[in-house]
Amino acid sequence: MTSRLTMIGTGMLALLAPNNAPSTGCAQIPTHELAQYRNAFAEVRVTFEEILIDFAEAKHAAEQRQAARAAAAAATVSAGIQPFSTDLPNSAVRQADAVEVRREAFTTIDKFNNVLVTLAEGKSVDAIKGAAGGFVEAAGRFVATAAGSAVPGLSALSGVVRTVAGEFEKARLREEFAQAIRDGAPKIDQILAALSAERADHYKLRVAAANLRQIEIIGEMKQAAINVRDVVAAHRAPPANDPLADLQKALDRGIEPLDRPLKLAYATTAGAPELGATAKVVADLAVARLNDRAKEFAANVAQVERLGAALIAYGTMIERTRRALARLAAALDRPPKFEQTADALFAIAFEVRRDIEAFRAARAAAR
Amino acid sequence: MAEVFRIVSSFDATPAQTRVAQQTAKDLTSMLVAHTLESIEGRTALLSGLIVELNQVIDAVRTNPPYQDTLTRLKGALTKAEKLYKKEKKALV
Repeated sequence: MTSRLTMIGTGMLALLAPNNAPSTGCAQIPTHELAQYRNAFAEVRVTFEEILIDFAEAKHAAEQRQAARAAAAAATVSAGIQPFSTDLPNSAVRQADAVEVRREAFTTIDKFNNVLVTLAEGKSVDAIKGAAGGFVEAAGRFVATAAGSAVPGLSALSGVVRTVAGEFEKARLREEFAQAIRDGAPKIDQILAALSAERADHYKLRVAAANLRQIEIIGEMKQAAINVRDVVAAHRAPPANDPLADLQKALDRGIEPLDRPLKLAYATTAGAPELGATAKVVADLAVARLNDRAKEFAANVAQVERLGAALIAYGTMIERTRRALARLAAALDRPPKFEQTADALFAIAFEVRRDIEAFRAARAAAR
Repeated sequence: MAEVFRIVSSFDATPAQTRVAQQTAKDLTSMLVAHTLESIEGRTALLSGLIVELNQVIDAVRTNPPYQDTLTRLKGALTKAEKLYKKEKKALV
């Protein structure tokens, strides 16, 4: 009977051992480094979503401007006989949606991270222990049925097999984890590097649009300032309540972003009318328009500065995630601490010894 | 672009000079944007390739033990064999 049981146990171990027991790999899954990497990635992911929304808008607006410009250029081409176009009609290959691809990149990294977590959690260890134990017990029941008596120490032997099977599974998980990191980390690093580099293009698109808008605003500010100057220059000073000083002060404040002084001066010709209430209203309206544009100017500057600051912070987070990933990969090759290894081995040895003693006791009781 | 800003903001610039400066700004911006969009397109292709490669890595990872199914099947076979044995034994007796 004992030899049959030994055969079951040996067969069980043989089933688990060949090709499944890893010979190399990290001694332990670096769960601390994994947690740090996942935390860093989670932070980047949240910021990424916000950055991506702005990126999508900036890109869409830039494409529309380019298309409008191309359409305008095409419209100016004179009608009549044109040379054949060298472009094959409808031959352009449709490009993948840039925004969707970037989102998918993050989703795929997420998926990879979840696989790492599944390996690190090691839920399959319990599953395989259950399966191995179940197999031994089924084999024991079969032997008992055939021999007509219960197999002594079966549950204890099942315990040994469960422990060994669990250890094999842990080793397999560690090897899978290490291999996944070795294969996946370089890809993730490249994805993160590409997204980090993309910040420059994102910024360029926004700055290009902001520069064009700034030129429009400056033109409007300049025109409003000139209107104030012309209204004053077309009149003589009123005999009382001269508004020149106030107008000059308002003008100086309004054109401050232009960094160009503009001096107001009354007409010197004798026939010029006095600056009355109507002319004052016209000048005030021009100053108000100037102030509105000055606010737009400041807002335009602020949005570029804020985007720049956000992209810098985003880049810092990406770099932090890349470093965390590198630390995780490096931890695979780091030798485990002797104390930890010794503790783990002691725990396994104790578990196996306890099961074997129970097995011996059961055998002795059966004699 | 700095020169364009200088002309556009100058009170001394003529309307014609301002128009030329504005057009120059549009042309320069258009060239920059076209180059930037091409760069983004290239990065899209790079990212698409990396996504495929990372998915291959994910598919290659075995999260479940390959021998678990074998053990479960063997256990089932033994249980079935035990039942058949009992049945045959009963029939013989």
